[in-house]
Amino acid sequence: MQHMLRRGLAVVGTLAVLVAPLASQAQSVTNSFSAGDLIKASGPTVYYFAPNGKRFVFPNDKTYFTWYTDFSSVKRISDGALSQIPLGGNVTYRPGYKMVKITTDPKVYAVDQNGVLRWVKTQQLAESLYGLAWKNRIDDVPDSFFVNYRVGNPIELSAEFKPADVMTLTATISQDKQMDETIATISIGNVDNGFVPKTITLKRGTTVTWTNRDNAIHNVTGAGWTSGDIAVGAEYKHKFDTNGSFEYRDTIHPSNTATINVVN
Amino acid sequence: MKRFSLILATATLALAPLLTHAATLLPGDLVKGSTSSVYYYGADHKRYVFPTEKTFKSWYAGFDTVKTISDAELGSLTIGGNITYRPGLRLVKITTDPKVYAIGANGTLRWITTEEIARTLYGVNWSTQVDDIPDSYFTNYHAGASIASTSDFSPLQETVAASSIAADRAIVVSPVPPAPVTPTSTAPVVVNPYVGTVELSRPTAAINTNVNVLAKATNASTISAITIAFDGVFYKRCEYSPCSSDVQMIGSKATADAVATFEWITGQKTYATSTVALQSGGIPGISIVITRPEVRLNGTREVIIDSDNRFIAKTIDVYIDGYNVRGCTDQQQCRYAGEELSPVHTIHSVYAILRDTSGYAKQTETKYFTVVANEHPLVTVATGKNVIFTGEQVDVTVNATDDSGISWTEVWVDQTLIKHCASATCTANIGPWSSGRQIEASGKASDATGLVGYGTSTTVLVQ
Repeated sequence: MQHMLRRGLAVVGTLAVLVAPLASQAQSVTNSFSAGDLIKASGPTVYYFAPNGKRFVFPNDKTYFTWYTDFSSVKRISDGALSQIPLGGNVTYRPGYKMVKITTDPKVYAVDQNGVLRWVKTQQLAESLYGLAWKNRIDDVPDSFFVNYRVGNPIELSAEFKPADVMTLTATISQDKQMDETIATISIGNVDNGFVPKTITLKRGTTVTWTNRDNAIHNVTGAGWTSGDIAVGAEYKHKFDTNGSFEYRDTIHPSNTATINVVN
Repeated sequence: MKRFSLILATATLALAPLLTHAATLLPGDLVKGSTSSVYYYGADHKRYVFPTEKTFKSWYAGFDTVKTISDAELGSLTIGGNITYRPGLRLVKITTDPKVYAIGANGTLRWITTEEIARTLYGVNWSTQVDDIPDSYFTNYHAGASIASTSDFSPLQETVAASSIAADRAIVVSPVPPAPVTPTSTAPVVVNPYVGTVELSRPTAAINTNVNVLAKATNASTISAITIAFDGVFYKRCEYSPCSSDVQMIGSKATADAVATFEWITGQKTYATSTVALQSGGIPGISIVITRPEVRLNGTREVIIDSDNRFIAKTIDVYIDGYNVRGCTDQQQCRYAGEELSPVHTIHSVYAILRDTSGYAKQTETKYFTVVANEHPLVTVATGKNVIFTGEQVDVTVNATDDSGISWTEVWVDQTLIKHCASATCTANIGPWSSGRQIEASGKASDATGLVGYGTSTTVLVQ
């Protein structure tokens, strides 16, 4: 999966992006997915769909498996829908799960929330944090993904960093990236793709933001509410305070319809 | 085990790489270690990664100018970021989005909104000039204004303006440049005939007290550099022998190793290690305080023994170097003060024996103080509160005393300088914090002769 270019003096080419096994290609395409879901299109790459309506990249399989044990929950969406969702950034290691280092620097780091690396200064510390087999709990991060992390304060005492506690506190990638989980974002794409995602399930009290990512004017109109014209690049917000299934459409392009399911 | 022994060497290089060799790396050089990866060495003394071969080729025709340095030196260079495509030359897209972008300065993506514009700017074969950027490197770029007409963007001008990676990225030079590292691909391998040793001022130390580490080369003229690390933490680098540094005993472990790394002019490296044992924590309720851990000749040495009501003392006897220097009767506190008459570098041991009315005796832990020509400033750190809430601020006060007078004091929080004062007392208001954490405050002070002392850190808990 990690593929180094080795032509003489090659550049650091770790063209590693997480790919799901081919078996899941047979899955049927869905228009229904929500913030926190894993998504993929016809290509093999799997993304995390975040509350801000963007997709996050797993730079390699090791990063993926710090968060998920398999690919069973990945939803297959259409290529057109995927292209309407902007890239948000790269997913970093789940905090506490493992220690990391880069190939060209021997320092070993523990991963804290939001990709902050904390240098584990001594072997004793590594042992008290990750046990006698701590050496098996270190992954190499390719140099080219080191920029996804920030170096924070070193860990001086084992009491400063409890891997199990850190993991418990960051159960999801949204939590790790300190995103507001009471929001959801829907992209308004071109006429072919319409609203992305077309069907989304939210918790009651969630504020939905529609962002016009097309180069034409759109609107969002439900039963008893409407956004008016949403200019190119503009947004509209609406909060959903009652449970139920709500249909809405773009009256400028009436074929574009979508559904919001609100649950407890 | 191997990994951490490597860390010591790297940490020292990262903190003070003051090498004195003639041939050096210059900002703008291409550099590699023993692996095939090539990096750009920036004016900020960081290395920048080429994430793909195509990125490299947008800047360089070949690998002729790449300099080789040792892996340790490469590891000591912090990674500054990923290099982006040279502006103007190529068009890029990601595999999962059909939008095609031109590249502006410093990795700006300019969406080319129509095929006509792409054809005008990049010719009829524009589609052959489009590279796919892997999704995972897309975040190295940032979105800029769309190109809605051909006058919005000139590929040639963009390329010319970005004459080098430095010009494109506007790399900021750090205020204190670490010295350049040296290509070592031609370093001769010589059997090392040189020996270095480590001496400790004392074999045991209590929590947070200092031990002096002296690293000596048998033949001082053959030494290139000596570094002293203690418990995995870098303390000092000297380009001469002997090299001496005070190191601090941390209380979380029973022993800690002082490691000296000797770099010889031959390019060889050797190590010497000596172990300091943690002194037992003393007896609950009975404290022994040496007011000044360093005393001048003819200065005043002072010891204070305190016992709380868990032990009712009939007598308290203070011993220095095994001699009873003071006895107190029917008191819970016993103070000893006297003139220091021993020569400089003498280390005195102090303990006390307390007896209750039934003759039951307890001996305190043993503490040490040193006779010096010029003592380090005594620095104390106090925080207004030990526990604060998020959104709350707290005062940190650093106070220093020294017989030579104090020239400046500093407040440090989490290894960051907060405030510098040209006086003996320095107070800084820190915070607020938005989330719960522990804040470590410490102090630093210099006396009039330039000798610097450090204050024990205190911790503030943010809830």
